[in-house]
Amino acid sequence: MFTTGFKFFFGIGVALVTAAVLYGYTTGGNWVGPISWGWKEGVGEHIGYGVLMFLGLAAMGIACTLIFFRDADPADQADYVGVEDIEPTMPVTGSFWPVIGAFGAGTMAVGLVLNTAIFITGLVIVSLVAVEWMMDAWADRATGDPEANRALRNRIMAPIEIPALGGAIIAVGVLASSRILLNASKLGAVVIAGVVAVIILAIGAMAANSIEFKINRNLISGLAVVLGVAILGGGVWATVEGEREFHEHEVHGSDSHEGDESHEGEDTDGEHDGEAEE
Amino acid sequence: MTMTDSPPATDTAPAVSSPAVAGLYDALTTTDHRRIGRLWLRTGLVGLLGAVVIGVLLGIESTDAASTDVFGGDNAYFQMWALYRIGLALLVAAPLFIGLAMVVVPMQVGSTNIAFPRAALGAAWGFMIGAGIMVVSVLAAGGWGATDRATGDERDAVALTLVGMGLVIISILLASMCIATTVISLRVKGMTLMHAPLFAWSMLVTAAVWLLTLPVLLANLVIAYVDLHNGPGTFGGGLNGSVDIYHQIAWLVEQPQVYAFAIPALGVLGSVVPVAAGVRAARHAVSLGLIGLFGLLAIGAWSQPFFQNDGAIPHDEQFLFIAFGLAAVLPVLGAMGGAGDTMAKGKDAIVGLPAAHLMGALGGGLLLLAGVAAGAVRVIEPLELGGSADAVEGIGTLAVSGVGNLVLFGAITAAVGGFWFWASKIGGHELSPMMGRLAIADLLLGGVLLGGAQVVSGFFDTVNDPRFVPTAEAADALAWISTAGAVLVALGALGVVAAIAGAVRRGPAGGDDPWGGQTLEWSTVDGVFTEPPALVTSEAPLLDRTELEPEVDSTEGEES
Amino acid sequence: MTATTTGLPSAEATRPRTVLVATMFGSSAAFITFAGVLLVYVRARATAIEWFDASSVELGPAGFIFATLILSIFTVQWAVQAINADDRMNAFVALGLTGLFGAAVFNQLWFIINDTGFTLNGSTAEFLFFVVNGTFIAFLIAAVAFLALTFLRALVGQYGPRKADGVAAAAFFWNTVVAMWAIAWYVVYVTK
Repeated sequence: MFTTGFKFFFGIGVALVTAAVLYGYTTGGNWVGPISWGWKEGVGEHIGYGVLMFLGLAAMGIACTLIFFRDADPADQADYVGVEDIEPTMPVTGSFWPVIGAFGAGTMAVGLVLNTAIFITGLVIVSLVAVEWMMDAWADRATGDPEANRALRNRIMAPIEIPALGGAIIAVGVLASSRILLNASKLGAVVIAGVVAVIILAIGAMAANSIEFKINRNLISGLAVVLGVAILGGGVWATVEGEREFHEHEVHGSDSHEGDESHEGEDTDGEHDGEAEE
Repeated sequence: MTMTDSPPATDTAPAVSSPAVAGLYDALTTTDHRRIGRLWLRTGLVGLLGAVVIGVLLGIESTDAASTDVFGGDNAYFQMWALYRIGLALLVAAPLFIGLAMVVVPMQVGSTNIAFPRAALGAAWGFMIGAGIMVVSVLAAGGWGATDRATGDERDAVALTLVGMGLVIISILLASMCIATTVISLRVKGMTLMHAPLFAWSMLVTAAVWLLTLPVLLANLVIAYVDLHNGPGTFGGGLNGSVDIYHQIAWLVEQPQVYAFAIPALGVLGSVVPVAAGVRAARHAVSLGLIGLFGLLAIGAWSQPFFQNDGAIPHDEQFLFIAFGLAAVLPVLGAMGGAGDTMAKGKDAIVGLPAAHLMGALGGGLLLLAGVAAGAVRVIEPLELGGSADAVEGIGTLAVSGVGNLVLFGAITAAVGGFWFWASKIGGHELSPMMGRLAIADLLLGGVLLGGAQVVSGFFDTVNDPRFVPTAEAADALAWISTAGAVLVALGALGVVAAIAGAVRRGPAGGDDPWGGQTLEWSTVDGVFTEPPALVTSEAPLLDRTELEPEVDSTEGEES
Repeated sequence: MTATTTGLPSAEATRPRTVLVATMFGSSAAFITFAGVLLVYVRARATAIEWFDASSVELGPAGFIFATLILSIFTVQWAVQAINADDRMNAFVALGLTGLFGAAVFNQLWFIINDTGFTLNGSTAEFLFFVVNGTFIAFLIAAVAFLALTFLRALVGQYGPRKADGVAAAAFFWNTVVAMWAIAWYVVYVTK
């Protein structure tokens, strides 16, 4: 018999397809158009007709899949696997990967707008997270012993993930903080660089100590989040604001001094860095 | 008569306990559905506080737009107005219901966790990051296309708004996938979809509607973004983008699509009322059907005025739009009628002041009914109450926003009722009943004034765009009423947050089943099933057990 | 630490439909996203005064893509069948072949886009041609990534008879992407 899920989704599908045909006729569609997907004659308003038709078909597709699964009723699922009963869910270990993945997605989104390098960094983070996530999901079900599962996972992944994650964090940090530094005044940039360096050192020291002294994980997590948000948010803000103005180094008689090494050597205020950036 | 079997004594499964460590580390790594749900709820509450503040500021500006400049320019005013409308749906109503669903739905269907808890956690953080990008970029002179196309160098900020919104939508879709999969695939043995509790069913319907319609919005965003980034400017791109970008996505917060954010309100209503009345709700299958019908009528991705052909019938005069607008009243009216019938049967249980959760559920339902009714009146062509402002760049009247606000504040009020109802499941707390009544009354009254005044103002042809100064004399007075509503709503939101903060400070209290619940979530201890739920063959298994108790006692030996 | 799992209890059975149900919803959402983009293309073409010349987009390579994707339906289902029969080697070959077909499709589509000489900001028609094909490429890459992760997971020992849900899910999404191209092929390349 038809299952409840099938009836619901198929009903929605039929209603939407019917609505599409009605919509077609009432918005200027010709005789055969709305019932032939516009193969012959017009369908009326294209967007409304098409959206209703595609949504209807998608709902019908879901309905057909659901009836194939018998609404995924527990008894049917157990029967499929060949056991008497299956627990609804298995324990899933906690993981940083979802939040890192979300951070990666955010980085991609920001990079899409502001900087290709940031986008690629986000893409790398998301790709790494996809692999890690998949391995976690595998490890959760590798055996019935959670400890053994964890050991298995770490044995395979730790040699890869520590350098990769470190690299990704450094890449994002360098790119985003460079935006901040380019936006800030010269003195401000020095101060910001100093403060960030001290914070990184402090977090590193605390993380190292936590192995032996069990420093509060929440504190470390909090600092990491604050730093991450500051770098990403600051990077976004700074890029939106634009770089600070870099004054062209005044070159008298530039034609005659072109390629004059000694002249470039006189540049002690770092303005040439700005030129290079530009 | 359906019944619940007692679980065999030897088949007791170990409780799935949550990790002991709490705090930020846990928020970053947890796979416990209650904690993930709380992340969504907190995000929704922060969104609510932000939205009500913007609402009050918009109200102040609207009372005298000619001489008041709260936001620093027309473009900023327009962007904040758009942020309010879009944010109320995407950043407030959606996360509040997703949060409630993450906590409650698994328990209601007898599962120990949500499907794909890591994906649910990732979605929560993705949502927060996306929402952050969206809001910050709007504040940084971005938004949905500059109104004058040339105010400063805003191109990147506009693009950031679009990608932030895209991330928000993808996160909502991911969360919807988790919720829908939980209801379909993780039900306890014996519980068919026909027996699914109404809130769980309403979330399945909501998730399905979101999964079917929000991808269309994503497609709109992709086109607008690429056009803005490097396109010919046909879809709002070029310079800093035009408000065409906003008009492409405005269908999200207009009827019928805006109803999609209020579908769970019917689920809250169907869950709260029978428990408050202490009776079995009649005609469960009809309630499922009504919620499903409302879901169908909330599918509005097809109604996109921006893409109407030149010279075509205006979208709100089209047959299907009118049919959807009128029909949407029926399921809400039916659900409210069902709630009334249930309350009439259990009137002995409801004495004195109504409980906060009952107020929230009924109040939310009433606001929603007012919203869909206003939507229906708006589409009745002979009444000409839709106004003639459609002639202005194809933009509707303020009634469009009014309907949206009534519906969305109905949804939010119902969600707040859900907070009070399921507080012991969300965080193990008991929320102050009096604070709840006050906050919900504020939300209710504020919602009516805010949305109602806008609907009436729309009937006086006030244009649904802050750049157009109202011409009708009554519009000024209605703007003041609407602003008063915004202030009341803000007070209500503050009350909700204060009550929750107070409860958290007091610590867990209230017990596992303070209301005598009928569905499986009330059989959990500290949110965890201490024993596997018994074979469920009814929508109210705990009530079945209560009703069967004398019989169980008399056959105790056989049962054991 | 020894990595042996001999003697350890095996994991409890999981609900086999969970991944497939989620994939069904995700695939529907992906399909509708693509359809949404395609509909804007169709609407713009129907209301446009000028559109690009039909000869600037050749049907041949697009047909080859379609043929390649049709072949890939067989290989991806072969992978599901093989993993259900616990024939891992065949499953790996089938998954690898499907991925290879994906790469071939990407290559052919890249050729088409270059061959047209269109520019993103040239005209509405050219712009939408880019967006439709670009959106398809995004979903194709997602489908190949899904297959790759499934391959990796199979490689470390997961899946087997009546536990092929992950592979079936990847196949489901792959077939959805094929359906996307089927529609795009007809709408964008055949009818132009």
